[in-house]
Amino acid sequence: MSENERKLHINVNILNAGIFGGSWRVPENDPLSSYRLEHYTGIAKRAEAAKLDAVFLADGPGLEPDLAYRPGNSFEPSVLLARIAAETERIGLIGTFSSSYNDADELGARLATLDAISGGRVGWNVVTTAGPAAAANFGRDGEPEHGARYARASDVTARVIAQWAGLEGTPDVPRSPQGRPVVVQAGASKDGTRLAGEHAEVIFTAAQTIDEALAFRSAVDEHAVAFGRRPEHVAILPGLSTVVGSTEEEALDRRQLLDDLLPTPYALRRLSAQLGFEVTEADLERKVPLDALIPPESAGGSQTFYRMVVGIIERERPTFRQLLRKLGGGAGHRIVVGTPEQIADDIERWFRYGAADGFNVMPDALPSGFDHFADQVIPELQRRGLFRTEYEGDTLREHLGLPLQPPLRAAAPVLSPTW
Amino acid sequence: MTTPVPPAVPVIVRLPEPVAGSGQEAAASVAAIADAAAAAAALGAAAVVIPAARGASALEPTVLAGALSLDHPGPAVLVEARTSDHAPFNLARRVQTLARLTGGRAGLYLRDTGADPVTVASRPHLAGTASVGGEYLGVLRRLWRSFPEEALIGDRDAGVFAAPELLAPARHEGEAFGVAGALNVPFAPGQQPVLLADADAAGDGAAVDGVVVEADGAASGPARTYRALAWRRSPDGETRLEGDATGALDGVLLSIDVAPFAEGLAAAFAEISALAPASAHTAHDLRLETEYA
Repeated sequence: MSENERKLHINVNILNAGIFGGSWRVPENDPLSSYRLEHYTGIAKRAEAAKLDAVFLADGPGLEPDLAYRPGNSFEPSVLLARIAAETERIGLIGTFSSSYNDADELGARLATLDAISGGRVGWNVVTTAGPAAAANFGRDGEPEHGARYARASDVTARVIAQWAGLEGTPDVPRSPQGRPVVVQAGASKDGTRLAGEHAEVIFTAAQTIDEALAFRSAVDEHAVAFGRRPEHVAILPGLSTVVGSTEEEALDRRQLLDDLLPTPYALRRLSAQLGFEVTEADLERKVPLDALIPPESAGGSQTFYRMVVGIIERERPTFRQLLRKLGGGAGHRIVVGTPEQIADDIERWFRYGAADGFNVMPDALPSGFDHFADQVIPELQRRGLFRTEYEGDTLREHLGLPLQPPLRAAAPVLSPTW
Repeated sequence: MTTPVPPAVPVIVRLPEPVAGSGQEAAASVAAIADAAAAAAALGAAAVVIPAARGASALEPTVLAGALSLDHPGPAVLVEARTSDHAPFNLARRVQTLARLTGGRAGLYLRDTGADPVTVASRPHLAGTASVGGEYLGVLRRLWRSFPEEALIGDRDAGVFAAPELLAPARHEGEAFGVAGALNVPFAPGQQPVLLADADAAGDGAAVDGVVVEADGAASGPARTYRALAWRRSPDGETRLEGDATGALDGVLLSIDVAPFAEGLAAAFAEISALAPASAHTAHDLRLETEYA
């Protein structure tokens, strides 16, 4: 494929009310919108009209500790995506499902059903699910150790792929109209990068700079090659939070509004959890001390986002308040603020540098922020010839231009019953 | 054509097993299941059950029910599920999601087949356990009522999204299961999922809305008793209702073992209605009024 024909891949992450901690408070949206079905079907229909590759649902099997201050994940994704599938025809349907808290054969069969009834539009975002809260819903005293979670994820994913490929020793499941559902992975720890290199066809990353993204890409490429895969069969789609304004000033005002709407107790708690030490309101004007940070390799929970935050602190030496603002109450995905042209410039730059094959767009507030993106940024990208104006295929695999590869493991792994 | 007299007791219809060989067949299978559900509703069925089929190309019932939820208002859709296939938190969440998508016209027929692999992974002593039903049902009920919708506040000005103090986390620590959480899917008043189980799994029946008994079985406890009756072809070549439909019963779980499904269904309904005719069309609420202690 020549460089001229290379097209962006764009998903919308329906992160309930939006990526920012205060997204649910913007005046134009119903604050409880993300607990209603129409929130999701509405955005999916808009995404399909805008010719996006897929909608993407984050998830975890547990209640978020911050529910007092912001919405959490609610509808179970396989059921919700089945309903979205019934109301749409082309848009891809990517759901997040835990490799730690699902049985491989049950999950494989369930996703194969979703894939069959949707005409081959499904992607599985494999996550290991960090944190003790989810573990406590499945009979565990604490979260399984990072390395054990990832070792399990590698085998669970291999087994599910084997089942989809119809290998011996796996249960029969409905055949996939796209060959197999697309495997997506989102985690950039050392273990996560290896898992991505082994299995992922789409990688949902968090990167703040082009250099960081290029370094990540080469790390994944190395793993992929070591597993006998071709790097061009892996699409890297960083998360991108968007704040769109019709003028730059309007966009900056909106960004300020989102800061103002961030509930302070939530922001402090979140930052404390992210940094691994208690941050109080009194600290906010102080610089974040470098010597208080533990090395990412030793951090529990999500190493990806911890690494991201440490990177920002080392580069920018912010005060606690500046760091809060930079993160926006989100986890640490990059935020672009500007006019549709400015945002398209940014997207184009990352794309041309090879730092991204596209993006998982995380609008500032939902559903309104996605309307801004779909109505203003997508047409600009289309004008530049960077994004499709019509779907060329029916399946998610076709949208992504990913060929079906034979399973890496010739036989289905037999999983240890205890771990 | 005369309108059939609906039966006086609630009849829950077991739909044909959903299977599909390929993408195209899957779409046809979804349509066939939807047609069967519509046929049952037209005859006055109180609910339908999507069977958990085994074997080649079985379609998973909760996903199927998610797709069918677009057709609502139809009959209430119950999904069949085996305890050995699903950790209780996962199943509770999917069924509560269905209840939200359908305004409460969803439920679960739980079959007790022992502990699931995710639970066994951290509790190896459960491997090979034949029965977890009573505890499983209790956990489901606790999870389903753990997140009342009133806990969603959405007060923009005060910056208060929810009132966690209104949640009732399951805090269950039992022989088989440890489930800490509240579910992350809220329930609206009167929209809790309907819960059915077989008599031997239902324990004292306190957690369930209905207990399914074999054709000659009896049940005690607060739940309704549904007699499992099958419309099938006898050795003499006649199709008839197999099982004692004349005994005392609160309801029927009807399976149709002859093809075509719709014909068998109509004949079976005619016979059940003849045994227990309704004076007028009654809408059956399968949910009990109790607080599910």
